[in-house]
Amino acid sequence: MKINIIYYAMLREAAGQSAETVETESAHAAELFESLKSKHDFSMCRSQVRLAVNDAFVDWDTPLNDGDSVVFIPPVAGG
Amino acid sequence: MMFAIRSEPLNAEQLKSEAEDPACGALVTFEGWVRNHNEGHDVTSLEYEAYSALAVAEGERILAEAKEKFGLEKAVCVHRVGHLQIGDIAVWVGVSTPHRDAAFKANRYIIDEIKVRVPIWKKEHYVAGDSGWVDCEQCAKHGHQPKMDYARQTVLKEIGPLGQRKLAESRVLVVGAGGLGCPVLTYLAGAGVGRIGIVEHDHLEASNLHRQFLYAPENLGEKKAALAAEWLKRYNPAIEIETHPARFQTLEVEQIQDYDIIVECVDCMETKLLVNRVALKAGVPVVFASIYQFEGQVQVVDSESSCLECLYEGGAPTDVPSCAVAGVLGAVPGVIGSIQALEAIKQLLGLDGRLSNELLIVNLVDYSTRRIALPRNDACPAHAASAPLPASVDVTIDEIDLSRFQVIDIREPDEVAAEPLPCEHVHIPMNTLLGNPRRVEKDGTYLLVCAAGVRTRYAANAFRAAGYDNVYSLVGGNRMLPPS
Repeated sequence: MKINIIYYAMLREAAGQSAETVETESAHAAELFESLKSKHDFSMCRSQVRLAVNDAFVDWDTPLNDGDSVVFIPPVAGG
Repeated sequence: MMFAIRSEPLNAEQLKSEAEDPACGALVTFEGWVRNHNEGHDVTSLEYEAYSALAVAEGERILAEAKEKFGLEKAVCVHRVGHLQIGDIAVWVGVSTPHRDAAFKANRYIIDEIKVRVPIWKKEHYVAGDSGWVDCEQCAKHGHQPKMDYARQTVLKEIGPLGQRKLAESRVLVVGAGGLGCPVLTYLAGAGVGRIGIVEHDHLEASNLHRQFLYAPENLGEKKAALAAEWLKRYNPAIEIETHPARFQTLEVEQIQDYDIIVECVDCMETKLLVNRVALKAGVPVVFASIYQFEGQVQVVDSESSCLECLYEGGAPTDVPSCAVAGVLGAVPGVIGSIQALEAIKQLLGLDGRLSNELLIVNLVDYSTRRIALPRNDACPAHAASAPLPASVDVTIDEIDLSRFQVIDIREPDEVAAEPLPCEHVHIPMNTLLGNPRRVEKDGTYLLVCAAGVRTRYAANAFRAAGYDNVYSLVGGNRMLPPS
């Protein structure tokens, strides 16, 4: 299935892009994140990142469906 | 601090001795003299007339402002009234401060403000025999204070005259007067928010200036709260500005409850989390924002909605990069702070499209925005900590969150030795505690523990009778506490 991924903040820097579409067989978002973590060499681990699927915050064990939009959001605090 | 109006000649030496302070390294004095000409006329003498009651009140206010702004130890200002001759002293100002820079600035501030704000009028007598009242700065300003005209925003149907009145009655606390705080403060003041509080403990640094447009290089090292307030008072003299030149944690809950909404503009995750906790406890909504390089996040938290800790479930991270580490371009907090100001106005007026139970993410690389739904998490520790406490004196271990209480073991030493408490606590035997009620503080929350709950009920009731409604008795005694 195809998943649209959107990156923010430190993850955008590490991925070198704001968004990408990936072909994946990952059953849920946690698995997808782990594969992207090794692909892009993310320094942040999953517990530091919040996950949104189709513009709602969800848990990491949420199953993915073809065409889902997945957003990874690291914490930010600048001002 | 002394401000006076006098009709007898001023004695500079005597005034100087009143302005001296042995703890200060600098004394700057100013003498305003009657001169023999003004705007082409030869002057023989002058008459000053004051509206004394108002003049003294305003003069004292100016000295108090100077004390706050420049850290004065002593300030003396005396203005003459009556008939003065050439060479007489018309006004005398003396200030003492630890160092010279503040003394020069403070003296200059006082005389400039006196000239403009204190109701004193001057009549000149000329060589030609005629005389005339001088158009002094006070006369020009008095009663003709130029005002901001809100017509361009009241024409909006969302605002209108009623909305404008509501803004004038609103009170907003802005925490942090930096990159986000500058646009927030400016747009709230410009919109006519009636009272704005500024919480900012920092002094101005050169690295602030590129994004913090309320400040200028000449003010480096000065307190940002006072500088921001000074600019905002000039920008909109009709509104009230309060400064809290301290860290947010020094504010009392009651001070926070004095505001309708908080706009959080701090560059530090720990402070954001603290504002979240305190605001939930105080029941005051908050507009949060954070930036990272070219991105911003905005979230509104109130007692009904999801909060900052709901966002960072399972413990919020505190090792998040600040602007100093990640880098920041001024326009980014400019945009995000403007959104915060707009959101605060939306919240105050109940306008459509305001944020609720969601996180707004603004990406200024590709100019995209996203609103991500964030439902309230009832298990979130911040909500649990702000839940109301039971009303009754007796509480069971099942109905309370033990982590919110300071446990006091009131049993006798032999009982304690036989069965020590399995949790963190202090030991104060009942009679000692009742004899020293000050061991309990009014803003703490205490759980008294004995062997069965009988002595603690008696003791807790005694505290309640003395006005402490924050002391509870554990039903069933020490054995009810979970093993460690």
